[in-house]
Amino acid sequence: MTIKGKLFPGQTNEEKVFLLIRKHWFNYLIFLLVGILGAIPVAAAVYFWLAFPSIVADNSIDIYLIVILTVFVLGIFAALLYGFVDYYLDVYIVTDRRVVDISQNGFFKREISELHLHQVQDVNARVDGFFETLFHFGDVYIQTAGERENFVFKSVPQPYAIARQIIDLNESHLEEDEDADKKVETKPLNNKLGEKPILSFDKLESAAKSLLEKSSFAERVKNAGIVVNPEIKSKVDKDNKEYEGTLTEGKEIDL
Amino acid sequence: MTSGDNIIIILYLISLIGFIIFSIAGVYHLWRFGYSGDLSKPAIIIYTLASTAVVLLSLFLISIRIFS
Repeated sequence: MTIKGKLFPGQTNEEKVFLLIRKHWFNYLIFLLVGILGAIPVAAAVYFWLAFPSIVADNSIDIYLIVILTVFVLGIFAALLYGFVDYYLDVYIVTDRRVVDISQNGFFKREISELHLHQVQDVNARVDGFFETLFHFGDVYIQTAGERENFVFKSVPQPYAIARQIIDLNESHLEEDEDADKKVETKPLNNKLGEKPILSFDKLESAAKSLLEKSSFAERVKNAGIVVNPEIKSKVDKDNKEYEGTLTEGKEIDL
Repeated sequence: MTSGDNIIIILYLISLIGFIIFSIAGVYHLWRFGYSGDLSKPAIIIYTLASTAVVLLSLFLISIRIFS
């Protein structure tokens, strides 16, 4: 199953997206805990305010309480938003051609790196830890050819299934490449009119060689479609005969 | 209203401006880089509604205290 639409810069129209992966929701839990823990004192203050309005009014602290509570609540909202942007805009994309890592760090740092499938050498998955095992998430390591940095999908759900799918896509991509190479090797040469194939590259090369060996200079010029001035042609033919004669006799040519 | 009240209201308005700028940056990122059909648009709506409600409520309560 593929995902439609343009998901990253540089994506071509023919490119099929097979996986769009975000980190496991457990990574956002720390921000949710901040929100939940922050809501406790807010709820307590509101309860105090509603339960003992006379105390609050008598001490003239109601404006202070409103401002402090509002700033506190807005701070929690801001933390939740920051965490959500950081968590939700980190995306790993696997297409039939490449692996793309879009990394959002805060509001003002965004990195996009990609790796072509033919550069993938090995893919491993690792689930390491209590919560990782409990909630089925872990890291996927993509080892690359050459000096390129390895790709790591951090804290993604179902890492073994993702690793398996990347391996399958890599293998099918390599098979497609091999098939394409074979087609190029065996593809016959078509004539200009696009009719039936007439010659392979090898046959054409040998035919051209034999033609050059057998034909005279004049024939070669004629075959090449060159129009020669008659005076020059006669001189060239004369010289050509002299050279041919000289060569057959095995003597040096005086140019 | 005392001078202390004035100071805290001014501080509140300054922090409110900072919060609005921060929110615009965050919402812009979600709107710009989120994909259609994912949770980015619902998150923008929920965040905007919730924070607007809190700010309006606080301004309403403060204005009641000031003008009462």
